Amino acid sequence: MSILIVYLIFAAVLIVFTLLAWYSVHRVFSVPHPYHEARFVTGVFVLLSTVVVVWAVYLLLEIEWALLL
Amino acid sequence: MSLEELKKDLPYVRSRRNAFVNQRDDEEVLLIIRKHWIVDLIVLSKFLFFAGIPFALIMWLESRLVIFEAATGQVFILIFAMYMLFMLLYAYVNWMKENLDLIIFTNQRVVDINQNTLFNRENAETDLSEIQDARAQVTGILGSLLQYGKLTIQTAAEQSFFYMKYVEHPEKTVSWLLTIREWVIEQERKRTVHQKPKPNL
Repeated sequence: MSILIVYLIFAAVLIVFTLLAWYSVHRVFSVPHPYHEARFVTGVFVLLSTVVVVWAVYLLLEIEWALLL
Repeated sequence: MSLEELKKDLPYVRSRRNAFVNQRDDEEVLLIIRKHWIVDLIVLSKFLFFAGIPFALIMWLESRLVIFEAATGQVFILIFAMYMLFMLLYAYVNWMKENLDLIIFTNQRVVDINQNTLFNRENAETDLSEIQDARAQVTGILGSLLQYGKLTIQTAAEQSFFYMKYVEHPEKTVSWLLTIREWVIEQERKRTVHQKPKPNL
């Protein structure tokens, strides 16, 4: 039960993170002709965030799978 | 000096039209004052420092042979992931704050855009003719070596000025501003001569 609460908190944090990240990217690209480094930094930010989320979900699924077996 | 000649004396601007929000149709960007790349390096160093804390913690726990139970491990992974996500967001927002701080000179006005926090930004603008004085201040070893410093632009209005830290080439920027100011004075003089009423004979 307690781990379920932790998963729910993680899901809520992910939603808040996604909203804030979307707004930040929107602000950076509010300039009609953003500079190349804006695209590069935004790309790195989105890539690293995706890597963290995928890595966390993968490890969690691995632990869940091990517990089931 | 014509507008085209003035543009040749100033550094290259990628897009002169439709370059910022609320730009007028007949307005052309002459100069964009941005921050030096040292601010990117400062943001990156802060991120690496704070992102390194959990890794140091993991290594410290491993050296003490601490073994987690599966449930504790899951909680630890989730906390670690949340921490890393918010560190990434913190670094990105900090970088954005620095990157979106701009002073834009067009052929009609000066626009100062300040992104203070994610949800707090200020816009100020004044006519080019209102500019009274521009000052550059380069301090410190790094500032002198890498050519960045503070820039203050005083306007005619009392106690009103534009101010930016970590400006790249502040001394050159001041000379560009003076060139723009000379051009504005020349344009105003021409306008006054053309508008001078003929004496009644």
